Amino acid sequence: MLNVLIFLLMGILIGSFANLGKKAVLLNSKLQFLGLMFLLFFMGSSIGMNESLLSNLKTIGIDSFAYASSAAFFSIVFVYGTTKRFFERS
Amino acid sequence: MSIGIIISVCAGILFGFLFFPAEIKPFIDQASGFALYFLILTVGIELGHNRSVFHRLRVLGPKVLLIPLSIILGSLTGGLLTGIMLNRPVGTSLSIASGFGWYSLSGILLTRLANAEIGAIAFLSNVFRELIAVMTIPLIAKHLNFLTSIAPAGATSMDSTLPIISEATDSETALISFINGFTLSALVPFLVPFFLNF
Repeated sequence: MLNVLIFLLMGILIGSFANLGKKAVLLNSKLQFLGLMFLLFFMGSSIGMNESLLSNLKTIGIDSFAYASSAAFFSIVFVYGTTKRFFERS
Repeated sequence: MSIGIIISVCAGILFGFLFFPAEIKPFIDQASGFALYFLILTVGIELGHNRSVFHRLRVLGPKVLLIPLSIILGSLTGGLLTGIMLNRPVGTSLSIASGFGWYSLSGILLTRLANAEIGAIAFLSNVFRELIAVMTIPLIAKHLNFLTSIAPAGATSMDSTLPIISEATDSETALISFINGFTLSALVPFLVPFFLNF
């Protein structure tokens, strides 16, 4: 966990102070895409190798939908409350 | 981009199911650990490079940060209540909800930091969140107000759902939407591991 934060902060420092040119930024986003595809492939393979997970796919799907809809619902309620209280023009 | 994501995950599932022997699991874990740190580094570079956001933020004032703050509180409330309903640990539920729609990163992080099942739920639930956002943004913009339409999008409001928000609202809301997505995206790598240990 600590490593994730260290690498994120290192990246932010590099991005802020290194004065990167357009080419470097483009290369960074290409490398990011490659890293992402690589990791998603291995995330998929750890799902495919896990038989108990595959047999529970229906439950996982329903649970996932429950998490998604409630998080979205309460975000809407909270933001609506905030806009009514702090953003409405008189 | 999204087609690439679907192909990668499906190819991974297929290879894992059909070809990979159980013995290579430690190798996969190690390789994906290094790849994760590399990916996080590139995400950091991108965030650090986007300095103009900080300038825009100064122009709009700190009040604009109430939007991402409300989305964080709303997402965590939703995650917590769902976790209680489904009888899942509080920390895990808050961690899943802290993906704020960024399915690729939250799925990867939780596969690595927790296990394949939690990673799969984080991935799928955040995919669903983006789908819900795509469907509800125009309705919310029409029937509630412009700023509230950013809420379901979460971290995706700076990239994949930004065109929809921009189309359904005005340029000021689109700008706030970008700042909101930027703020939430920067927090995902902190909050997902943080809540997991709750």
